[in-house]
Amino acid sequence: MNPVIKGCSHILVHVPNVMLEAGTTQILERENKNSDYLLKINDYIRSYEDCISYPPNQAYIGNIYPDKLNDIPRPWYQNPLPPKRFGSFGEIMPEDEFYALMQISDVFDLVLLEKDFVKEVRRKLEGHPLISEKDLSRLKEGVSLEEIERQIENKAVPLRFNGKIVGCVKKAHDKDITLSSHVMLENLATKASAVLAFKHLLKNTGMSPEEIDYIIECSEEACGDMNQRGGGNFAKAIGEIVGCSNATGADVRGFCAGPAHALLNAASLVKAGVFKNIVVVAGGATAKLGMNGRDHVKKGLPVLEDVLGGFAVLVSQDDGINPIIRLDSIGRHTIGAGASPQAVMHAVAVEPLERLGLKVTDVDKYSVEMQNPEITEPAGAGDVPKANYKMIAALGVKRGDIEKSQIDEFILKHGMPGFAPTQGHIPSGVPVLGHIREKILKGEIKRAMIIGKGSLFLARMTNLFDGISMIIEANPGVKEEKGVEEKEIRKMIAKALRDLAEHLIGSEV
Amino acid sequence: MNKKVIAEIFNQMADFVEKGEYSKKIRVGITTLGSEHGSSEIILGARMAQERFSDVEVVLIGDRGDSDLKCYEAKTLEECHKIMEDLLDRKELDACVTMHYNFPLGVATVGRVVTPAKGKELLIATTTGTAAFDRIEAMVRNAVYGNIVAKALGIKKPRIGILNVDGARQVERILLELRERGYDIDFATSIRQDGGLIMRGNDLLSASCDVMVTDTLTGNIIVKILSAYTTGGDYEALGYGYGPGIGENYGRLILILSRASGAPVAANAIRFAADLVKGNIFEIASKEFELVRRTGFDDVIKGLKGKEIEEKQISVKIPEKKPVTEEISGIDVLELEDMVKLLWENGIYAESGMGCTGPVILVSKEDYEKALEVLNRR
Repeated sequence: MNPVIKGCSHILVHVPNVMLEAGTTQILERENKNSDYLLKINDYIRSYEDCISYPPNQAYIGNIYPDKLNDIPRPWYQNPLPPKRFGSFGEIMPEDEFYALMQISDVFDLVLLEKDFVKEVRRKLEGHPLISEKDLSRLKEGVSLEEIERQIENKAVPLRFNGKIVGCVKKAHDKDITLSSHVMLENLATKASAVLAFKHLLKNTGMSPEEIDYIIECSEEACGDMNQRGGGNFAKAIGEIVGCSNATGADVRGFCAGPAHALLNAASLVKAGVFKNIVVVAGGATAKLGMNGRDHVKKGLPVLEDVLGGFAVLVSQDDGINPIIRLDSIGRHTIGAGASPQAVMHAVAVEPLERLGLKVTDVDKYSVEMQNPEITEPAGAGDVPKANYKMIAALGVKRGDIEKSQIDEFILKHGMPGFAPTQGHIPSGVPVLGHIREKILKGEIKRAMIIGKGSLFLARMTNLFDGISMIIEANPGVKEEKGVEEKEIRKMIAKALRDLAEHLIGSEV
Repeated sequence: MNKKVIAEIFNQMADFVEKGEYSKKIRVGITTLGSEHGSSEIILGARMAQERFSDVEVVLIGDRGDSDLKCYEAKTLEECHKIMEDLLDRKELDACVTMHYNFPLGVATVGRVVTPAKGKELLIATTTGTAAFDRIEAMVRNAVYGNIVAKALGIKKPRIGILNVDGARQVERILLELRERGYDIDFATSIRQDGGLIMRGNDLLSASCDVMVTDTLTGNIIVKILSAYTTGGDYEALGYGYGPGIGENYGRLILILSRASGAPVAANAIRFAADLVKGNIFEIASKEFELVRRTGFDDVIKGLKGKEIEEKQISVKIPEKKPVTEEISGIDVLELEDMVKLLWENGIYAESGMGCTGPVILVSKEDYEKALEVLNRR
């Protein structure tokens, strides 16, 4: 009995105003009174149209296979695709609708929206295929602009749209900084984007929310109060809004590697038979919006980090069809493994293969940190996925699986161009799950490896790095036990003979 | 429904009606050409087996002689081997007994003899073929192969002994290391006063272990001696022959006789083959190889043979360690370690890392600017 990946969703939310308000780069820049960057930034912000026609974003929501990006000339932002809001895995939601979704997801009356704005956005949401009557009933009438301005004076964070203030997020406590308006905006944005991903997952899998047993949330935010800063629990909070009345759940953290750890937990719980249907879900990180914006503006690019990411995966019991998660050879970076790229990649990518007697070329596609290189290169961080693939290839050369001259070919064949926003946990291994699942189901590839890595020094608790990986494989199908068919046939023939015998006895009498 | 399966069942019913016995037979082939005693000797062995073992259907490949067994005609031993391989691959045969056959590298045979002291059986691992080029590695593999065959014969916890030949002590060290790492292997104790798992000639005669590990050439001699010592030497009359070829991912069950093997040994080899089929030899083998791989077999072999040549590190004095919190990214992953050393040479403490943003060099806040300068100069 192997756990399977029954479905995935991948969503983005275009939030340029939240980026200006809550992205850490912009917040820190505000200390600089005559900041050149903040003066210029408005000229470099993308419209919603530009955002959805951006090729990497179209790859993320499933309208093009990431390898297709190799055929689209760079810079990608100058070579748009048809602007499709919805894709086979999810959608790219505009900011005004997202504000409304934040209010729908808020159960403490912290999100205030202006009356006329609500009217307009309610009409828009009524046409949304996944927003139900019940969701809309949670959207309030709205308040006056004066009321919102009064709250902003009292330290609420403003929500802007089209150059106007249309709402705000209030603080949830007078003294507690972990419940400040800034933190509440962060956490509600994470929650609302996770809700959106969850809704798409249910649609993609045809599951009803009541069928979900357990939820594992794996974003990079912390919710709690001053007595337990990261106490939780996003998982149940999200499940409540989506209507998973029969589920419970908790949060798993591990920096960028969080989703991989969460997936491992989900797969193990399913394999152990504790739960049947587990959803691993994460919303986006407002803090990372515009993280490299300074470099983008300096080099004349649009500020490309204007989207929140989210994803959800349904891990279920073996159905004989969907791709399986192999739990018999998990890649892990142990505490004693060492920090060098060679040590990390050997522990995470090569060792699990060696344990199964496989070569590095036996994995059709590796998923590493799939950061979009167009975002990271201007900031001097290079092409992150490519660096990872290069290391795997180099280890393959060392093992004798490939020749040194084949490194570039290996990267092209077994890797993918980066396409995910730099949201930390969002690019880390998981963004390819939807694509991989489809390719495996179509029989185009057989085996993939999902790798999640994390930089733990950021919390100043340890200098260790982290990494975890798992192999996803085509489902071998539910194997009939040997001789089942033969047993059946024997039974049939025996019955026919007995019938014949009975008939003979009967006819004599 | 599968017509073949239905037909098969009807055939078995016919057998039952005719002979009053009923079971699915194991199909074992035997090639009849190439024996020093003529093909009639092998055919006699085949007939003996067919008469004695009701669970086996014996099939001849080569020459029919005066028997009424099913026969695939062939003129030469090479032809026999081709037909045999084809029949095995198509699952027409479950196993086959032959002689003078070349196994691929990595495959070696586990023989089965009857020892003179108390008439006890003993497996000799191995007796023909080459498990590995290196003598020590080959003997370690032989131990695994012997373990597989013993388990297929129904011995739950086979006791392994290592014959006191050149390299025995090294093999002992490696096997103990593998057991330490979780490989399920049990050892025998010598009947001599010293005890231990290294076996002397005496242990060979008394079969004080279930599996005797040795190099292939010695193993081959042992089988020959223990099967021909009663006949004057040119006729092998005792035991089960040289046994099945075992190897990782090797999918054919082929058992070996020598050209000096007589009819009784040929008959026993057919019995041996049927026992292995019943014992699910392939399932056991794949499980066993999986286990061995998981213990890091390759590393153990490399490490204990002292083959690993440590890469010579250019010694650079490492500056005093300090907390590093600033990331420098964008350096080619394959040059990262050299760049760390370059910083050390310049008196800057640095560490390399591979985090969520790819390869990075970490330095402390106060060294950050200087480090960038040093790296940019490169």
